[in-house]
Amino acid sequence: MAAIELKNVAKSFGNVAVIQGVDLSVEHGEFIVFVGPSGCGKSTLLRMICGLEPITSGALSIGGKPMQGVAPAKRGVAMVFQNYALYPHMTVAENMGFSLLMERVPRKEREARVKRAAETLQLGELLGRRPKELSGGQRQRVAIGRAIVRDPQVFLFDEPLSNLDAELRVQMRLELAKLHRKLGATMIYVTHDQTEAMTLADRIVVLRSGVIEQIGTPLEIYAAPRNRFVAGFMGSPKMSFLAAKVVRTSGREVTLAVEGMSPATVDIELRKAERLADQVTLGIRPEHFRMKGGQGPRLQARIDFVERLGGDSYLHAPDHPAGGLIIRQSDAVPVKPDAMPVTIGVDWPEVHLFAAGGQAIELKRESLSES
Amino acid sequence: MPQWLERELEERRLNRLDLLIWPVGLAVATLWALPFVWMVSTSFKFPADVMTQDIEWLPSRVTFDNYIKVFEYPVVRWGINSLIQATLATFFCVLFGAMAGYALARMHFPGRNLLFVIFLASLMIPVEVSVIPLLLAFVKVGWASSYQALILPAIGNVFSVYIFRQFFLTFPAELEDAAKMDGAGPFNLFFRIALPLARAPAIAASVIIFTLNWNSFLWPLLVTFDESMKTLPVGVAAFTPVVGTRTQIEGYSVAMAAVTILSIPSLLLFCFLQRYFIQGISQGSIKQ
Ligand SMILES: Nc1ncnc2c1ncn2[C@@H]1O[C@H](COP(=O)(O)OP(=O)(O)OP(=O)(O)O)[C@@H](O)[C@H]1O
Ligand SMILES: [Mg+2]
Repeated sequence: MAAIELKNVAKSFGNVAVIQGVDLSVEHGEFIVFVGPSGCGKSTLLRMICGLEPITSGALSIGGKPMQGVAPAKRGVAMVFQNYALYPHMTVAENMGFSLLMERVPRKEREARVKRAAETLQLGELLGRRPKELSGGQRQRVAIGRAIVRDPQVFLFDEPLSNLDAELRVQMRLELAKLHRKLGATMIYVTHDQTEAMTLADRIVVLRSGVIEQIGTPLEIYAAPRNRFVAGFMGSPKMSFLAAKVVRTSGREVTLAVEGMSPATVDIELRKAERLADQVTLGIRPEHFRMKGGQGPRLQARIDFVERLGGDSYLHAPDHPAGGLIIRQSDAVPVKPDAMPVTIGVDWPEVHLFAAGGQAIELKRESLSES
Repeated sequence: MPQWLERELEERRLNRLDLLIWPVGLAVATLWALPFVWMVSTSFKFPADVMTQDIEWLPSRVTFDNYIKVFEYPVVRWGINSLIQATLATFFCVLFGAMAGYALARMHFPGRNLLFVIFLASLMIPVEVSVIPLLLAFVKVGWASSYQALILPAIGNVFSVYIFRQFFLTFPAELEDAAKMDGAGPFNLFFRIALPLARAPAIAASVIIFTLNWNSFLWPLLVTFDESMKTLPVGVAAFTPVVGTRTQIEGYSVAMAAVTILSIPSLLLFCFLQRYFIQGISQGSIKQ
């Protein structure tokens, strides 16, 4: 029995369809991360799961029970909001105990449960303070504490760390991972942050315009994106996309011509024979370019600017004729921007191929050779 | 602009526009204060000094006789009536105003905007139109000249609804969502979350409505038939000197003493709550 089950769930505001036919099954204790561009419906999906937003059509069940008409507080679900949403006029203890007060839990037990949650999150000394007397990180912890106190089966987080500074985010991220292990509860987490998604998730759900584009483990999503959108969305900096022309197909063998490459064509083997349109797109992640070495055809590109991150550098070549390139270089001395083009190698066995409509074409890995 | 002036402005964190606004504001404030000063000053004058050739802003001789004369009337009783009337009416008016304002701002029910427009439109009906039917109704029910008669009609006040509606429109939706997740129904949501956070509009509405009720005249005048149910403004109105009679001048200073007493509570209220008052008024117009 799944912890959360969405069957063909849809949501419209007026006649604007915001979520369209979402199917998702979340296992007990799983950590699911929703990612997607702004406005794609991540928050709406969360709000439908917790009952703050009615579902237009489709079915939702939590712990095997249908949730139609069940009040938010009765779903065994707790939500942590982006802006914390702490009650400003209550102390930390009152904030955390409010849900228990609403359930008419006796005062003694209420205090004990608040204290237990406060210990888990190291909030002990702060119990008597008001939210405005807390730092951002402390407020976030109180918001999480308020969720824990209710002892829910499911936690929902809507961009909980986006208001914190970089260092605190890393720290809270680790704490959340620990908390997940400790409580063993099911968690659904919305974020814009790639690192949060990759490091926290058991499975990532990539959304676009209210549709699930792909569900998979972080590595699946990264290594085998199902379409060009997912490939471009996950990974930072982005995958480079190069226009390519199909010049010859024979069985599983395809020969592609790419502008600004020498030699001008490359042979690629598909997993299974497939008819391709004339135009396809090659996808190459920054780490799959080689400034030195590498086999097969090489690209000529003029490096426009260089981002140095200390260890790695990212070279940008936006005006390559087949499409802009972003190249990772791990050498100590990075290439300098220059008017003269440089030659860039490609890890051909690692490239991705997308059909004209954007869907990924499966390749036979480690079977690519130069023409 | 001379340099010393610029430096002065900078030091006081004022901008050039303030140079214009402050004198105008000061002039307006003075103009508003003049009648008040005149009232207080006259209340301490001997009858002979009330009408003089030259304007006497401050009394040359001071007497408390006028105040003593005021207390020959049942002003204490009237004051208590006024206090009961104004306090209870204000309390319920603010409470119901907060409830209605909350519902109009945060609850989604069909026709809520129409309802609000109707509320506002009711402001266009002059009191004089509704006061007679209302009086007849109270007489018929047998509630004339009673506290119910003084208080009940004052409870419905659009201004209070308005000020709370504007406040709750800017109230963070996430707080409500959080409370719903915590299991709060509409009742707890309002009394435990929304209302405690609405202190600024509550104080602003209280001051305004209290003053309004404290000073209300026409309705209490019509609905109180016996001396013991009169409110302070109604009672004090009897002091207004009849023009052209011998007692005119004497009555004038006594009336001023009575009105001075009348204005004290509103004044105190405003002084103590001024900070919140301004906060609450600007809340509706300026979004943070
Ligand atoms: N109450 C509402 N009424 C009308 N449209 C809404 C409402 N709430 C959300 N929407 C629309 O639904 C879409 C999805 O919104 P949602 O808040 O779920 O996006 P999101 O993925 O959480 O975005 P973000 O990453 O910016 O938080 C948006 O286009 C938004 O304009
Ligand atoms: Mg969102």
